[in-house]
Amino acid sequence: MKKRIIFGLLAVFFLGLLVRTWKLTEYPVSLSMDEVSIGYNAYSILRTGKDEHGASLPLAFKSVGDYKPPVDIYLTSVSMAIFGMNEFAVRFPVALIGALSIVVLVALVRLLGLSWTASLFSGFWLAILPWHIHFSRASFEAITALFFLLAGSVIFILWVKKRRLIYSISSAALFSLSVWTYHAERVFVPLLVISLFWIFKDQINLKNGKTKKQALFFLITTLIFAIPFLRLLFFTPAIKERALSTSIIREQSLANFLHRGDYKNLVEYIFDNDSYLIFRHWLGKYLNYYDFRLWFWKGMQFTPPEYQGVGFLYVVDLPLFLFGLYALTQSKNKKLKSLALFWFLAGPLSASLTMNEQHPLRALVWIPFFGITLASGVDFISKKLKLTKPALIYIVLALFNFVYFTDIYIKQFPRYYSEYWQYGYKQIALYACENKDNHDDIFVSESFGTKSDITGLPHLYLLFYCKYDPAEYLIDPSIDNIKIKRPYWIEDQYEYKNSLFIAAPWDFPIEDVPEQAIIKKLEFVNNEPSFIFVDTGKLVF
Amino acid sequence: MIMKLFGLYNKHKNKHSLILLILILSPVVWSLLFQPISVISEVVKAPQYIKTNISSIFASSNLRHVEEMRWNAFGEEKNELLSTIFYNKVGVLFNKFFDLFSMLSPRLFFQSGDGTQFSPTGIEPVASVLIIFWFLGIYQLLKQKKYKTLYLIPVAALPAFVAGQRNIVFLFPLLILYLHIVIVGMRDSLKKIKSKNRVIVILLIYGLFIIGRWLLL
Repeated sequence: MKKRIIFGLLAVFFLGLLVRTWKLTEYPVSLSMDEVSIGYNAYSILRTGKDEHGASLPLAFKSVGDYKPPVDIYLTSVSMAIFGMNEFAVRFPVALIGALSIVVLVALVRLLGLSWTASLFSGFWLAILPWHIHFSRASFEAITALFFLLAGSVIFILWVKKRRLIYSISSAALFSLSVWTYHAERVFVPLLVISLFWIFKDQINLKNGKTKKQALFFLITTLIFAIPFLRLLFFTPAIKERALSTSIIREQSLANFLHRGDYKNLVEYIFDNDSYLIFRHWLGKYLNYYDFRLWFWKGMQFTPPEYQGVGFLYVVDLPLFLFGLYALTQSKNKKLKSLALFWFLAGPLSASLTMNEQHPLRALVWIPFFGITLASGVDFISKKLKLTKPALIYIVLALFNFVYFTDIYIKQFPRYYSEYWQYGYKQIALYACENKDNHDDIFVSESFGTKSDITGLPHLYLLFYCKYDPAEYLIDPSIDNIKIKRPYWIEDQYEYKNSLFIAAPWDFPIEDVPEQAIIKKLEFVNNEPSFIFVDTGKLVF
Repeated sequence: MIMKLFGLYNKHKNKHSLILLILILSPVVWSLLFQPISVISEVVKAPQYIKTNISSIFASSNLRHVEEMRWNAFGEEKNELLSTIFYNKVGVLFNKFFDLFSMLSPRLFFQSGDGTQFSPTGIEPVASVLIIFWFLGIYQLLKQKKYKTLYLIPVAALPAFVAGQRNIVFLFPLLILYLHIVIVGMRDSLKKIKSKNRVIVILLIYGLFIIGRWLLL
């Protein structure tokens, strides 16, 4: 039995690792802005001990418009020390952590009292879950935070069961690391910890001296992690800036109606109060997450709204999910029920407090609820029925869904959305670095896109792909003769004689540029033109 | 006095009093009652809506999306077997089928409304605070194995689904069912709450607030 469990665990882990690392640098099609930012800052930390802005071993990394949490950047530094400064080194740590999360989820489900079959099923389910695969592959901090969160919960339950001081301290440390890793956990983790203490209050029994001491150590560990966090919160813009920049209050559909204290009369003050408007707006966003279409059909936004797509979960999970809900309500395991209920209600809370509707990344913290529910469904079925036939049917349909997801992910998604992954800046950076000596100046535009005018961060791609020495960049924050600038063609063609302009065709516009001056053209994955390279040295006046 | 009037002062055995309370907290019901002619005219249009909806399922725009995805899928050849298996009219039907699920979302009833004249402007069709009892009601129905109500949920959304109209008139059966679920949740939870009168007063004040908001703004 033990051997079979270990084999099962290894099988789901390696399956998860395989789907998270297969052609890791090719899908998603390009490093995102966040990924190159993490990558270059990690490189800078590795080489100089400072971030790109010169701060020594910072706890919050200044970025464009906000601050990045530190954990993933330091993990990427370690990865770069092993694999070198490349795309794989940026993406691998989160992909590995994503695969490790599978093992931790199995442990959590098992510790909550479900069978090994159900627990291993939850691991298999997470291994092939589109919601988790995508964000694991694209180096999103939310995956690392979820891992710490799950591990913290597992160790917490172990502490409740075994009463060892090391578990108490480790659990607090893991929960705290989760808060340090991603923004959504800043709201969710405190609620989860309070709920865990409430759910397991009978077993924790704080009247017992030994438990009391261990709980005190839990608190002390939390404080050790919390003090620098609170310092950042109250004395720097690092935490506040992010909260403000993503808050629902900034959303136009709400902001336009807020009075901000300027009420015309008492009736307006009572019946159109800002508190009510904010509450109602928030509730709409919160309830928006309780949508089967989002969960099972369209949540991942890999395709445009009117096309068929992929949900957070597979369609095949729907009947099992309903079984799971039923099993949970009938379960006599109060702790399992309470924790599932908490996760069900609190899962989308952080996401609903921010801008954007139905945000799959910010709702990632919700995954354990679905895992627990589906595992409960399997547990229920396996006790009532012979499992062989339903299991076979599920596996066949899940594989069918997986093939469908794979096609959507590697063929359809890049085609529809490559530009939102800053596709093209890598090629631009490599070309610019290789050819910088052939031109007086190279100008790269930060504006591009076919569907809308997107503002990118080309300087980060240049720093990353040119492997620009961070020590030099700290002394002089420029990249040789490569500059970030949109073309103003009417004047630039005369002013910069032997220069290279790289920008979207519409930014010149292309009709005004003589054909002989266009030395290179780039396209997005859907074959739409993305950038043209215009050499002013080839112009004939 | 108010609570005596509603028969809510003591134990909540009186189902009718709860229904009355729920109706006060559901401006959408009053909104529908005040516009009988518009409601009837919507119902009269139902056959036309159904016809248009059914004929639009395999409309050329939808099939074009399938073609487009098929073209881009798997191999380079357009009509490769795998592409045909995964991208076809079944996908269009699934897309349509999930419209039914999205109509079940409580958001439409407890927060946003349907955007038509039938949803009272600027307020929620059913008081937002009742969503708590809706969740509790669903939980109670599952716990007590009263599945009939739960099975009826997708059935109640069928008129709106078939007509292809996210409209309170066609979603009225679902509205009634959801209000019933709220009553189930309310009845059960009020039994367990010691300060139930305080809860009812809060609900009544909220009811007055949204009615005031509806009438005065």
